[in-house]
Amino acid sequence: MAFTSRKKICKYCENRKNTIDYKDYKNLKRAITEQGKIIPRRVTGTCAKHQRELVQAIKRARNVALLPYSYDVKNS
Amino acid sequence: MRYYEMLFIVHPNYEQERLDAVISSIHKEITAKGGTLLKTDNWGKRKLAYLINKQRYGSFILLYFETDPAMIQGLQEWMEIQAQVLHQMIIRLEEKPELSEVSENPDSASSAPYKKADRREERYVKAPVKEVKKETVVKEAVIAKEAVIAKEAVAKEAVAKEAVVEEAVVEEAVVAKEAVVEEAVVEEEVAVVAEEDLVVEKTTEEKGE
Repeated sequence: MAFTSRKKICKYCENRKNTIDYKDYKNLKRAITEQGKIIPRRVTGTCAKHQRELVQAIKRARNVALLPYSYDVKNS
Repeated sequence: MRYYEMLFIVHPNYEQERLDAVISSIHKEITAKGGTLLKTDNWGKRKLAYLINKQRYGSFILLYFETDPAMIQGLQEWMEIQAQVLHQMIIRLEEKPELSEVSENPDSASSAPYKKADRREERYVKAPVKEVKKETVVKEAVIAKEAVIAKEAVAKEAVAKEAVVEEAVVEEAVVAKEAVVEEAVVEEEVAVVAEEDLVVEKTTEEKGE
């Protein structure tokens, strides 16, 4: 297994959830880091289509204070 | 005409009456600009992810409405002026939203994470198979019961037969005992009355007869 990596499958394709909603911030929390950064799709394995939707949803959620722009890691 | 969705945050210090007044004023503004309201969903007071106007909390209200695209900019500008509204976001919807009576508050229990929902779906998929199995099980149970009943009947018959046999055995035993007794008696008589050969012969002859 040294040179072969398991093929990543897009979570949202598997779940067959058509839309990613910014109001569903609890699930969007999985796609951001401890600091609040959006995790790149090379790490999560999300497909390009769903990553675009995901990014839009996260940014919308940030706009309405459902998700933070950044967590203050030092002070928390 | 297009469908829009607006989420806005009202100042947390506004109690229910004043909050209702704010909501109704926004309703009036939308209808005055030629829009039609579809749904109003009050999420209640919840914590903000970051401070807005030095406030930690805010009352979240979600609105669905249908209106002409030209009116949106005016509404947005009007919303910005409202001091009681901390923040607002209008989103254009591509399709007519599925309006349900249930609140879309993400903090409510109905909004479960993906994984849990998935497991439920799997259960729903697997459920009919289980039912079929249950039916077969029931059938099997019925068959088993019938078999048990049949067995019991057979067993009863067997018991009855055994009883008969036992009775027969008992009878035989009794007969055998009697025979033994008779033989014993015969032997005793033979032993006791050995000297009187004639008598013994007579008695044995009598017994034999």
